Amino acid sequence: MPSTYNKIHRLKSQGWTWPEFLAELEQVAVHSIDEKTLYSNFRLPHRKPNKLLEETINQLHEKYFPSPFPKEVEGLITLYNHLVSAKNYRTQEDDIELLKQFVLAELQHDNPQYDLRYSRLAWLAANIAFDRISYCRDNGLLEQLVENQKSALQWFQQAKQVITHYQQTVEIKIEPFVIYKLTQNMLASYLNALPSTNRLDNNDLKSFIDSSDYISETKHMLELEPFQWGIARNGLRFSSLLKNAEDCEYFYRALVTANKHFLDIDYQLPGALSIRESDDFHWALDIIRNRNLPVILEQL
Amino acid sequence: MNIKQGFIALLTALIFVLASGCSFAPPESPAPMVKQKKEQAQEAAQEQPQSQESLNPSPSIMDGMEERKSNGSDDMERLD
Repeated sequence: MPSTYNKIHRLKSQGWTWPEFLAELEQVAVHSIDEKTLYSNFRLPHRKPNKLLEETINQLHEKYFPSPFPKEVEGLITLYNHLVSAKNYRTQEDDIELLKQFVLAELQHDNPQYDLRYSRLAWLAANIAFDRISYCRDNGLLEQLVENQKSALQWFQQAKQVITHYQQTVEIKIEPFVIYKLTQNMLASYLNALPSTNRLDNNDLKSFIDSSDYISETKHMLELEPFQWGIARNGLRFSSLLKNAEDCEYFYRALVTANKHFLDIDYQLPGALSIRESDDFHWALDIIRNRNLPVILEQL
Repeated sequence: MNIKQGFIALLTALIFVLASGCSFAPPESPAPMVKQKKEQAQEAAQEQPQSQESLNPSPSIMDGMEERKSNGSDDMERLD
């Protein structure tokens, strides 16, 4: 789910002026939102939006960029996200398992219809397996780790194939970002299965990146949506892990284009380490420093 | 219990949890809400000795995320 920061940028990139943006918000907001709040959430990726802004932006985003998936399955994904992130939820594991069994039963009907509902359910099945990967890795549950990784990869791939096929058959336009998200999730399934010390030059990562055309797809996505700092950061991460100096420079420049705060290698966002702190970026950091990129880019 | 029944039971439990969290008193009547909260706190205090064990969360798949980050392990989040 894109952050409020990304949604504000996506809405703004339709060409709205700030007064037009505020007028659009007025139409869906319960209470009015002031320009200062909107603008500061536009400028600062680390800014946590207040509840009113978050909900209003969600509504406006859904109006202009509606999800192509059926609402009832979107609801199921929201339900699962609440379930998996709940604190002190005593029966969390059991309830996730129940939900998983339901989703798998829906997917394994005798005559499944390979449509958007099916693909989104497959996405949810993949999410459930994906969310267990890091836990299994950290707790030495090797067998379960392999099983969950395999399941996540299988269902993400299935979702991708069905969406790709469906949009060709029905001639429906699905945003390229939808397919890209699945590619990135598959790559994440490989990455998260590895402890940070084993990621550099890893063969599984290398072969997936080569076969999926991830780097060029990432560059294409950033041309379409240059504000997507998360995409640029992951591009930089994998260029670093694969020791590609030119791509490291490319994605660091893209990261700074997405937001100037990233000129500071210690810049940290909620839920992510700074570039300096994360092991995955160590190789890139030498390139960034040796080429004096923060200083050069600050002057542009 | 088959899968569908189990799923319905899960949905019911979640709706109950959400409904409990969303309950509110009208703005003109703050006093009953304060009273209700006090009562709930007292009940919770009374119940604590019996239910202490069950209140401990089971090891969750999301547990340890912060610890992982402090160890320099920077996992990727999935995109929905």
